[in-house]
Amino acid sequence: MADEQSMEPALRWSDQEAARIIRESYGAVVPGGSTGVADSLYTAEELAPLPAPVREMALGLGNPVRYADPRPGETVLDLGSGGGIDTLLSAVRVGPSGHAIGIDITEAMLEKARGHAAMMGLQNVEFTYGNMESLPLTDKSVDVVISNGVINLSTKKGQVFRECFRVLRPGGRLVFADSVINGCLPKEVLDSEAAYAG
Amino acid sequence: MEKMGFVRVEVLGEQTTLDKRRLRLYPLFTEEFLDWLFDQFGGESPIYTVHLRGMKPSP
Repeated sequence: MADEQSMEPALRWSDQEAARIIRESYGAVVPGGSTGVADSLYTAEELAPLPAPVREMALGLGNPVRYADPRPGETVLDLGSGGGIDTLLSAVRVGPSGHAIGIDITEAMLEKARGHAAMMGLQNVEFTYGNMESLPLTDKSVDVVISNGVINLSTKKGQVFRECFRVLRPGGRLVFADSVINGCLPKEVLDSEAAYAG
Repeated sequence: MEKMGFVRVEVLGEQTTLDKRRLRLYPLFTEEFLDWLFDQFGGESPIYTVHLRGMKPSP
């Protein structure tokens, strides 16, 4: 959509600093018993298979699973899977003959997501460490790539799209929700770790 | 996305403004931070959420 240069705003953070901010911010998230984010993004029917702890850890910006519409037997990759809500919804949709893979760089989130998968008794899902600029997957190995409010965190967005293209099978689809800005962010916001993480 | 080889790239659904009411739902943000953030924005959020889809061409 945009050219590669325009996808790389003048971020203040090095790759290492960006990874640290993400790990510290998301690793510290403690669910407060509210399902407000999940309730604002998903229908009650969509949320029905998910236990409360999964819904309480929703931190996304949209509902990419709805638009990606994973089908039985497909393999779905979720970039920045967090507490696992979209990966788990995908696992339910693709069924036992399909597979859902969540990757994240925050170990605390991976642990939560694995616990959520165990809670649901799902055998067709895995959560693994990996960054979206260098996906730990072979070429042409997935049917669908989804992401929910995560690609904006990358310091190398062009590389993320190249990696998505590499791992997708021909005919595969990338569907993601993310934030966009109308204009430029003020310098004070660009310099804020909290604003970047959010 | 098109430069990376994706085709049929499109925006899906409606754009939604990420206003203060919505951002309050996220445990990442304190009320103090949101007050500061919206002061920087002059009270109006310039941030929206969108859904995008692109396809990898079939041979």
